[in-house]
Amino acid sequence: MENKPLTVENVIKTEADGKKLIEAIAHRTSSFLMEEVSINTLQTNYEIDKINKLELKYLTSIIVVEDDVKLTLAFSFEKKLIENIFKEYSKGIEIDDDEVQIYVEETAGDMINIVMGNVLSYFQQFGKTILISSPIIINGAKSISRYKDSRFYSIDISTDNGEMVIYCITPGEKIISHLENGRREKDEKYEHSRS
Amino acid sequence: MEGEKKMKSMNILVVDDSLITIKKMTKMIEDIGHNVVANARSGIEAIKQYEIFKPDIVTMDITMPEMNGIEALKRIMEKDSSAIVIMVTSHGQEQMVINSVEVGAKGYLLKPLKEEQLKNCIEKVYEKYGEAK
Repeated sequence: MENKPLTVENVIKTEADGKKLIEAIAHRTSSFLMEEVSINTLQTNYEIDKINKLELKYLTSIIVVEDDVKLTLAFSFEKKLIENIFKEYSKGIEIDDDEVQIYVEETAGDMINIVMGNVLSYFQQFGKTILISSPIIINGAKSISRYKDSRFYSIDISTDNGEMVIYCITPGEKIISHLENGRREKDEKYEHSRS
Repeated sequence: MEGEKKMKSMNILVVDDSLITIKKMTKMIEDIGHNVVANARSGIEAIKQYEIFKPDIVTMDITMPEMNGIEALKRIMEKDSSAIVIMVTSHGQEQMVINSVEVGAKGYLLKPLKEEQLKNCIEKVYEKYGEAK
């Protein structure tokens, strides 16, 4: 990875930076799966902008990454995979049978939080903090259609314990041009006030 | 081991909005010979628990609902300037570390957490700041 810091805005503006982001997420997800829960990634497939629908699997954890603009990230797991991740992740701790489902969901929330928290170090800009929301969990397979200006990136991860898909949803270029116009107006006002 | 000074057992408050992280942290802390006196799932709850239990050390997550970990750290430090708070978070951003240290954090650990890292951090911060408590 290059030393030049990524910005959330550039991820939305340029496909190249969007690709860097999803590659970083895919890489960190695979290393998390291997190091924390001993699950091997067999194959990773990337899709950029060819998807119009989010096809959510059995359990999905979602977080919002907030800079000047917001990115939404979703980790969607097949039942078998998240249950196996939970089994390994909770090894050695006691969980009552009637609480297992809550802890499976918590595991999905922890995983997206750790992966994205770690990946955000690639986005460092001096003096700036990028915020991550607490995870939200969605149960059950659902599909969500694409909002007209947004862009979807997706990563299909196939492991020896089942499948997962990661979606990155950006708000689209209209929002960026709106932000840029806003900034330009601010700069112009500032210049005007100085003259 | 002979010659090795045994560390006293600490009373620790674990703050994290994730139930599974609280359970995992509690197990790690107990395995290395310390006690978890209480846990909290938000910044507001952490401040309340700190006042009740007066723990030797707090492990504090950053991203939490109601009040985040940095704000909770700030409020705890205002009430007890000798508080020993270790931030335990997935955020690898340098600015987040700087913000935490500026407000008074004594240590910073990156998730996913390893028992050895946690043990070393607790020992180091208590050795350095424990006497002031």
